[in-house]
Amino acid sequence: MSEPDRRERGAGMSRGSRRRAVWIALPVATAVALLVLVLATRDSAFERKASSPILGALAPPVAGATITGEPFDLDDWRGRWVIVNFFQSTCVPCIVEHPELVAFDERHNAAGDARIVSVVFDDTVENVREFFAVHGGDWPVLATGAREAAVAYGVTGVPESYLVAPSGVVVWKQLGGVTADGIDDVIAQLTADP
Amino acid sequence: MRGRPSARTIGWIAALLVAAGAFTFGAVDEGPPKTNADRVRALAEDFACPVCAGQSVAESDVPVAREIRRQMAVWVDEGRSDAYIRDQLVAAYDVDIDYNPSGSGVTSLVWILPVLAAGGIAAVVVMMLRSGRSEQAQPAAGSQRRWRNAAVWTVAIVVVAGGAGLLVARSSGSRSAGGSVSGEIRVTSRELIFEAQQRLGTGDMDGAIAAYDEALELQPSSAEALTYRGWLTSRQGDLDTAAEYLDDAIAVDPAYPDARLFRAIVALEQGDGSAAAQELAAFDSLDPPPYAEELLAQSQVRERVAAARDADALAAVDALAALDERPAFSETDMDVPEALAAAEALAGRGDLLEAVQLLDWVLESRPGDPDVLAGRGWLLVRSGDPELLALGVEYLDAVLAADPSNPAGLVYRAFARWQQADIAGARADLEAFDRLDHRPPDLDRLVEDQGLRAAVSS
Repeated sequence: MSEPDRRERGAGMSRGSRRRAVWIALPVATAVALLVLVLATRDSAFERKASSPILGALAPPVAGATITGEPFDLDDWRGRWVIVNFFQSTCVPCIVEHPELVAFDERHNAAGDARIVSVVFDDTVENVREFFAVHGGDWPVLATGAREAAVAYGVTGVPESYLVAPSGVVVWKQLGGVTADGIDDVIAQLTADP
Repeated sequence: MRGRPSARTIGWIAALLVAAGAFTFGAVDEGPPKTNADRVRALAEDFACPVCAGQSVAESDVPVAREIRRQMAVWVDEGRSDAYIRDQLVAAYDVDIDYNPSGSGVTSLVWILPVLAAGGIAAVVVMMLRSGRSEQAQPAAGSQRRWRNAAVWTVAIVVVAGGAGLLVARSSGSRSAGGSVSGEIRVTSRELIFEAQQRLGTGDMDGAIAAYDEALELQPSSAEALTYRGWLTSRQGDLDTAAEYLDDAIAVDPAYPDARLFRAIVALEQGDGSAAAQELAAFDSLDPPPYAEELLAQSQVRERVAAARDADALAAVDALAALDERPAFSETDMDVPEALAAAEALAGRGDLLEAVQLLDWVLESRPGDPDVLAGRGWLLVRSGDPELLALGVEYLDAVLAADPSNPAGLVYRAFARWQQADIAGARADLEAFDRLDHRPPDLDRLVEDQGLRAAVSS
């Protein structure tokens, strides 16, 4: 076979292979491009953690018995703003946050327009009783049913708080400690006149 | 040259291969989870720990993973389906928690796109092969028909036999030797716990442990099985593992008195008097049944807890006394109950003055603390000295002026008034104490043990 023949035949094979490669690569490239599009348009991991699927949804149940043995049901507080606060007695940010919750409770206790319910997270009732005896605070602290509530709210750590509107919808989530002014600001923003 | 094998021969060979494959699959496949514990473990492996990098809920030991595992156990024991559990967790933690993305919505693209890509590639390959073959047309139409028939039969046999094999494997996955084909071999966890109790009665501790283990496989959130598995483990000397079982039992059911009692005993044996006192207080608050009270009395847990608490409190006070300059109470690790216990211990060994000084030191950091004021008044009331008794009553009056429902104030003042022969006053305080929704059990016991109720009612 002469050299020009070999070149001509090689060129023909190359064109065929290229065409097949294009046919095979096309669906793969399309699939990969779509996957990249899906991943690129999603929120970052941090944004997803700071967000929550229950925001904008009806508040999951918070029901059971408190550390003083009294029954509690979040639904009984429909019509009020409620802070659902998940905490642990030995967590330092929870200890730092607690005076702010006390201040918030004192501001709203008389009017009864906003309440707090604390939910024990991975702690013992005895430790929590001692915590409230030392640090103050006179609001319901859910003990029985606390784990169900923590999992239903998707709690990832403590302290973690959710603001439930009078309609019963979860409107705000805070990872880490809250402040009394911060909560009031959120309520003020949500209830501001147009 | 030998001829091609007939379509029937090929069909038989294919059937044999598929049957062998199906039986192999049935033998190798683990089948569905055999017990609830297996199911919890399998589920926990299917979900990502929400706060850990690259760990499943099963692997992680952070608090949130522990709580999710415990809740999974409760759901599984309640008979909830995997789909229900998946829905609950995804609703709370978003789809990222699910290692098996759902087949709906945008997430379904994760499943669909690879299939589309594979299908596209396969289609291209088939098209190329067909076009290549058409260029080399062969006349043997009869032979082609036989091959096509053989292919159709092979595919049909593969589908039918494979499906049958899968069904057999699934239904026999949990079947033991001698078991029925239905695979239902379970006994209830209640029966196993009963069996464990019987074995324990005959002194067969290993058999009892094995039965409790089986019960926990069936019902991982059984507080009773966790409690007694922990208790037997502690009797074998493994206190740390026993504490883990008992902590799990308490997490499942904080109101199970047996778990509290055994946890107090284990804490005592671990040398942690403070934890033992906490568990005993929890036990007392549960209105325990008579058999548990008997067990408590037999094991002298109350006395041992009191002795350990006093020893701990005195050691803390002695450590403070050894310092050149005693720090403020608020700067120490000591809390009010420990300080009160130390004061009681000091008074018990005759150091009344030191006990009073200790509480005064606490009051410097916590002025007006009702518990400390009540404790100080109580020390004076018990001194036996009329003047100190009167001073003690003043302290208790101050406590009750600030909080008329302070339980310690009411009981201690009732005792003081009884000593002062003011029976009507003592009765009024005791009645106010009885009206409280939550009466500390130790104060209840104090009233009964010292005969106060009988004295004021006579």
